[in-house]
Amino acid sequence: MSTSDRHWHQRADLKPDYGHSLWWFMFANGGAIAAILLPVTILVAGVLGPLGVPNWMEDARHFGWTLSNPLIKLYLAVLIFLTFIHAAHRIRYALFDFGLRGSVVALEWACYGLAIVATVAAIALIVFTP
Amino acid sequence: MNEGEAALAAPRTYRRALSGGWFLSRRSYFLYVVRELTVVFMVAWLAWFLYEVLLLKQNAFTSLSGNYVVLAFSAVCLFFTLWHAITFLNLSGLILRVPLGDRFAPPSAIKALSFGGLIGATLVGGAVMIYLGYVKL
Repeated sequence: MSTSDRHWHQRADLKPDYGHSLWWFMFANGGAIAAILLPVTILVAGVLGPLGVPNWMEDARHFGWTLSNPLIKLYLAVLIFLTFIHAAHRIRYALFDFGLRGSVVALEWACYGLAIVATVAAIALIVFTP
Repeated sequence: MNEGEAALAAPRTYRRALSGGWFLSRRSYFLYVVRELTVVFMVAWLAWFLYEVLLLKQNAFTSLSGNYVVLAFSAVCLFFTLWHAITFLNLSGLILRVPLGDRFAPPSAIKALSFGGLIGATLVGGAVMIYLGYVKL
């Protein structure tokens, strides 16, 4: 049987692009996590807080005390990591849509690289605060 | 140069080049681009939040109560975050194929579960975040 006679998923010369699937996997999970967890975080800390509703960012004592909890650190680390990766993936494809098609590899390195560097910096900040 | 040679020298392309404002030509294209750019507001809010964490680390954090600049910024970010949430979870029924015996779970059930997750997380998470503000320290 020649290569062209087979269905694409039976062809030994075609290998899965694991790198590509990894970014799409994290994009999808990041999108879901951001869709479910980010609205309530913004609503409480950014909208209700300034309106005078007491919350975990009420003052420095409450904010520091809440941030000292390892589960809160884990929550924020997961939320930030997956949202940043999701954003990098979306921006990478949006820039392509806007006509930036010269160097796809450089664009990928810029977007995903920036997301990873920002995530590492953010997690370091959260882990070592307060 | 005859007609054939001229055609070879400058072959006609059948791929239409997109202009910079292609997304303004149709409403659905525009809404697609807005959906793509919702992440900018999500990342902007997280960046602001991390700045507040940095202020806390430097003992410079002040209460946000009555800060209407933060309120306006967060309201805009919340609007686009909800836009992302609704458009993203709306697709969950099409994307998530959950095997159920020799069939798949109905897309409407997957979608209902996704939006249920958003509502549940908002109610439970919101209650916890507000409760933490009432804890006596």
